[in-house]
Amino acid sequence: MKIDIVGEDDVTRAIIERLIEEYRPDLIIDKVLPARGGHIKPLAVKYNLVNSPIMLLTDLDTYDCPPSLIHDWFGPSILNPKYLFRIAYGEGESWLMADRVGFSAWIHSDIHLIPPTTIIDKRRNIFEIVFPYKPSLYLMREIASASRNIEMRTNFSPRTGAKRGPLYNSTLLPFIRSTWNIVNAARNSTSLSKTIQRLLEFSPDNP
Amino acid sequence: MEEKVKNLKLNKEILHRPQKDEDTETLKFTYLEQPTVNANFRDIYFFFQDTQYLNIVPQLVRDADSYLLAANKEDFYGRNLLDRMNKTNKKTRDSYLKRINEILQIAVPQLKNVDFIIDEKGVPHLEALYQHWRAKGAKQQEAQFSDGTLRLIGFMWALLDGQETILLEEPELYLHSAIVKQIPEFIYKMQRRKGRIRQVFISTHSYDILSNEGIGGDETIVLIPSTEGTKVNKAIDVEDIKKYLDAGFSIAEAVIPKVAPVNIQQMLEF
Repeated sequence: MKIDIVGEDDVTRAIIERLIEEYRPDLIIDKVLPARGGHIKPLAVKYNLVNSPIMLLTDLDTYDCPPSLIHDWFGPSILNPKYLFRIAYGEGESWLMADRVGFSAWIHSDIHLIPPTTIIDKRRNIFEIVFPYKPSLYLMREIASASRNIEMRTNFSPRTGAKRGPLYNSTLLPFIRSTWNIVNAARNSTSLSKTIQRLLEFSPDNP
Repeated sequence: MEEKVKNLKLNKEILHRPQKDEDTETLKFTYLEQPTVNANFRDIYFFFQDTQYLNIVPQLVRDADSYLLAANKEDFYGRNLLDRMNKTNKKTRDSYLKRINEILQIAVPQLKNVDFIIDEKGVPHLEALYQHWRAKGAKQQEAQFSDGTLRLIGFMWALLDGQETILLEEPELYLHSAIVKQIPEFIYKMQRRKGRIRQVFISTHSYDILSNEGIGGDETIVLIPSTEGTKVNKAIDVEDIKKYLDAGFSIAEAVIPKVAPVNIQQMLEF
């Protein structure tokens, strides 16, 4: 079965690709959307109308919780069962750093630089790594800058006025593709473990 | 390989090659190219013969030597643009240049009064006033025009001059994205003149061009490479694209991902 995937940057898209490869090798990725990155919020509602398998991953960013994002983006409309709409707590990068051991070894930084896993909702057993500010920025400013590997430091440190290090994507993408230990990461992130669960259950033909 | 000609109105086959008595020599040529055998479908022959292809290469337009080299050859790269202007009668040329100036005034406001002149050696040139800190500005010729300005002048001239079908190669090249966004409606207007509609084909990779919401799925032709060669289809006939158009996406959003190279981000992982 073919599936189209949606993410607003290369990192998010690579995460979806790896998850599908790992958990649903029966799904064949057809198109990588949107054609131009950037804000997918205005497009997200239209993907709901396409009525063929689509998996979208977006960042929770400043929303309090996933339901408030969904309500803001979709209003009262109901999500199409062929549309696997998932939200990463914080950013996609949070899921990568949730593999504490793997990520810190790969980037050559101290594991304690990654903030501890925090219980967000005790009753529903929801836990995540809570970063003090945007996780991708935290990655560059606090973790990569403390790396013992000079390449990691230069690849991730932004030039004046730039938002990302000069080799941000090309450094992170190979990690996502081959090093990222998803099982370990899911132990520190409910949004990731739930996404895996939904992906395993995803059957657009028999909703 | 096959060569087929069919009259779709009468649903009748006019030609189907290879025929019985053909050998490797005859198969080297199409019937379409040869006046002795294309009499039954000569309209097609004339159509292709009259079709103009234009991909202006600004560097060649600027180079006066290349103008002399190309004088009697088929001109794909706009080298003969100035020669074509020269061969147009003055009244028509002035009226075309007036139109071009009106539009350049908006797209390239520093450049005023583009005019056509012939130098003492008999070589034609474009001349314009470039306004800057000097009160009177400075005269510039095509050698000093920017790539985008030259392409824009060339396209406008080509669209104004003639009625035959025209193929424009990537009209977005060298232009600011704000200008590129206007290209679809601009061409739509330029191709409709004096009560006639001129057929214009453009090839493009431009998101800005394709995001124009007036472009239809039946007028967008999508080239999808495959192991069996490149498949050519109308966007509306490709189910993977149609479902996105039906959901309200623009041609850019629906088509570009379908024709993007698979795993293109791996370019970064060498």
